[in-house]
Amino acid sequence: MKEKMRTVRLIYGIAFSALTAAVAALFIAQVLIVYNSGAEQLFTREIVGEKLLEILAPCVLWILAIIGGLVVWNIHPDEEEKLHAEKDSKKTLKSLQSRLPDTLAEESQTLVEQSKKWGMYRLIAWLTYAAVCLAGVIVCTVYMVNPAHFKADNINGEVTAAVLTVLPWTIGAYCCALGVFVFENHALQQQLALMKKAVAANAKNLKKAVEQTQKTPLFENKKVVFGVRIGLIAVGITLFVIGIFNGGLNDVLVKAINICTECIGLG
Amino acid sequence: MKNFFAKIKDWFVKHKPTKRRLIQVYAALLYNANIKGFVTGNIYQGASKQFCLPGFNCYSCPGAVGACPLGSLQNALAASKTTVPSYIFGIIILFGLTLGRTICGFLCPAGLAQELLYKIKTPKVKKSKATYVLSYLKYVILAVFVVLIPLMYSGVIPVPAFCKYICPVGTAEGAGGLLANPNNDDLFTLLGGLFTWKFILLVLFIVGSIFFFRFFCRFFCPLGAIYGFFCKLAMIGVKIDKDKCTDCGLCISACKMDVRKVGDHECIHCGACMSACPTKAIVWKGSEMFLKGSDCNTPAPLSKPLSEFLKKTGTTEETQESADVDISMQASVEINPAPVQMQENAVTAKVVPTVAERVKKRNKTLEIVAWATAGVVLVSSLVYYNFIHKDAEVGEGYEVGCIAPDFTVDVYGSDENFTLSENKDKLTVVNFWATWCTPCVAELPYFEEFYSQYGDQVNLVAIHGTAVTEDVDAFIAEKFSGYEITFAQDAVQAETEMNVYNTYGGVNSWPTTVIIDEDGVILYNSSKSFHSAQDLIDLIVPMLSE
Repeated sequence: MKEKMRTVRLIYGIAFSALTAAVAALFIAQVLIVYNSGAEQLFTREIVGEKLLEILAPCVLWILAIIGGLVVWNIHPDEEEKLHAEKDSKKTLKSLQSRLPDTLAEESQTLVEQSKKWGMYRLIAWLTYAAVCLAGVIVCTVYMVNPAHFKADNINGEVTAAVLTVLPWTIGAYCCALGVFVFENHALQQQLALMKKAVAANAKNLKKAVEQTQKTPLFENKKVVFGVRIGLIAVGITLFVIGIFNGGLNDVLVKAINICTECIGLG
Repeated sequence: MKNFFAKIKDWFVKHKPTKRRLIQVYAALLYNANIKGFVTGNIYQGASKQFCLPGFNCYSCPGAVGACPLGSLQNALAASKTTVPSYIFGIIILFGLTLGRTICGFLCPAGLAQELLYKIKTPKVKKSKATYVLSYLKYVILAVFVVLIPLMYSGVIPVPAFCKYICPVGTAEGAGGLLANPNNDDLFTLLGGLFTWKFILLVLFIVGSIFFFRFFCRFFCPLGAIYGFFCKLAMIGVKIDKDKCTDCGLCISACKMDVRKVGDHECIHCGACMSACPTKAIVWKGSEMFLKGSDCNTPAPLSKPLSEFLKKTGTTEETQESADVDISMQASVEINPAPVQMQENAVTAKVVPTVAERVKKRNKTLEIVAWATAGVVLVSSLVYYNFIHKDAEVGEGYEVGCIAPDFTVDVYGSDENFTLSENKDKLTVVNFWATWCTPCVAELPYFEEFYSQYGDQVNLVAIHGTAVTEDVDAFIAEKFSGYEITFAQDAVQAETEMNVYNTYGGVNSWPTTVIIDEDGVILYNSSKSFHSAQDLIDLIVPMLSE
């Protein structure tokens, strides 16, 4: 029965995901059809109503599928997902490194050297990523703080140009980060394997495991946190009060009581 | 039959909303207490809108009773050349310090909507390194759209770039709420390319929220990014009791956000990790507030190492670092023993409540008081906004075909004034605008261009709204110097006892253009903004020949 339900859920999941994508595509298609119709007045209540009616059937099907899914899941609930606790590889590596004796056999020395090389490769990978991010920040900042790139007569064009400048760097940094994570995982596993071999080879002379005493990070020191909180509360209240007197409160009110047409897509 | 009802009761008990869900719904209701706005199609214009709400809620939503902090921040930065944005900085600091990202977990209607969408049964995309890296995208959006673009356009033209180009909440709440009302048919004339883009984005965000937990919050929300800076300092939220934590990592595993540690900048303090922690090491910050010093009996340290209670399943040498672990319940019992049974006083046969029982009673009392206060606040708000508060009055007879009410307004840059009845020799074009209104400022050059060609055939007066946020004279002198069109300031008229904008049916939609013929008949009255001088020529020139 459990296997059957798993299969049913899988089929339902795939079918419903496809249906969701299809309904979303239909909505997008309808709005694009209206926008590209070239009519003098693109959107009217009648046109919008007409377009919605055209896709009513798949929408109703989608809603019924949601209800059906919720009913089935409640009658035959999912098995509770087992939580998967991952050990911290870096902590394990540090702990293994601390167990090694001061004088090592030649074979172990080679293993430790190889492990250090992998560590160096990891560092290089992170530095490369940092360099890519830094380059991106510099290029994008130089572009974004240049007033010549923000002319009032073509706001949409200028914003699009700004996005097209920032986006490739963002994508590049993202891909670089993913690559670094994958490489780091691989490098850590290599280091761990080498260190375990080194530890096994020196099993008789290992140092006692010492609990790694970590310095309390700055923002976990209660006194520091208390002090910063008090300071920031004072700053916050001061700024709030200044804002009331310099018209900031009124500015917020004026914007909030009038429809921001472009904020809601009217324009 | 009894069995059936028992099953139904069990189902309701199992599926009753959590306290967090109730608080989320409460917050959504309180933020949008102006329910009559959905009926009338108007947004609330009262004084409470000068205060920012902590969560994400568009102030153009008909129900909204407060201002959106993100919209307010962008507008404040856009006006930073004339007014230091201290109010909005101050309020964000205070929100961040007191609540931090607990706002995201408890007080954000957008978060609630996403969590409800996530409940739809589909295969879900689980968090991974890829989603962790992608969660930094919201900082890029914060920097570019919320800070830099409004700042770079500051003093030129207000551009709330995030609201305009990305925010799905504005499209859903604002546009959806207003357009759904039959009284707002004229707003359909404003829909164009921008609406098409934002609608497509809204659909994508909705679909994303079905497959990804809190899709918008995790990857796109700049407000969450801002509150995330306060993760270490916020007074309310979850924290780890280091004395009890065994670093098992189950909390991270149970969390659907891209956290690396409980309480970091990605944590929304929803408390989902608390039930996963076998040693109950995750507690709410400030929980000591509910306990007196003498009540805080720290439980004795665990007598046996936790490893004795860990059962590794399916372990091999290769997978030793990532083996599934089964934490036995005995571990949790050893660390957190059940409250000691009540002890009877043998002499008086009186039951003496233990410390734990007293604390429980005090917490229960505090909870009841909190819910009662919250209930009173919500009911009072609903009654005030929907029954007591009166919307701004609007004139009658301002539609096309009606006789235009007369008005007199003071002209900027001179001692003269402009009176409609004294200017009936030509067609009169009245444009209601404001310095804080982006489309208004953007279209005035087109009016000037039109006027330079047809100024001998029309009167054109641009009337600034009564709500002034900066020196309008200086603004006109800087931006529109040399313009031939007449700039004037709106004021309350003696006859109608309302300002000209309201007299002509204006409530809260800017810009508005009214065209009046030589006989004083209104030919055109609309909130549509113009994107070129040709639009104006196409509209007005045919009226001239008539």
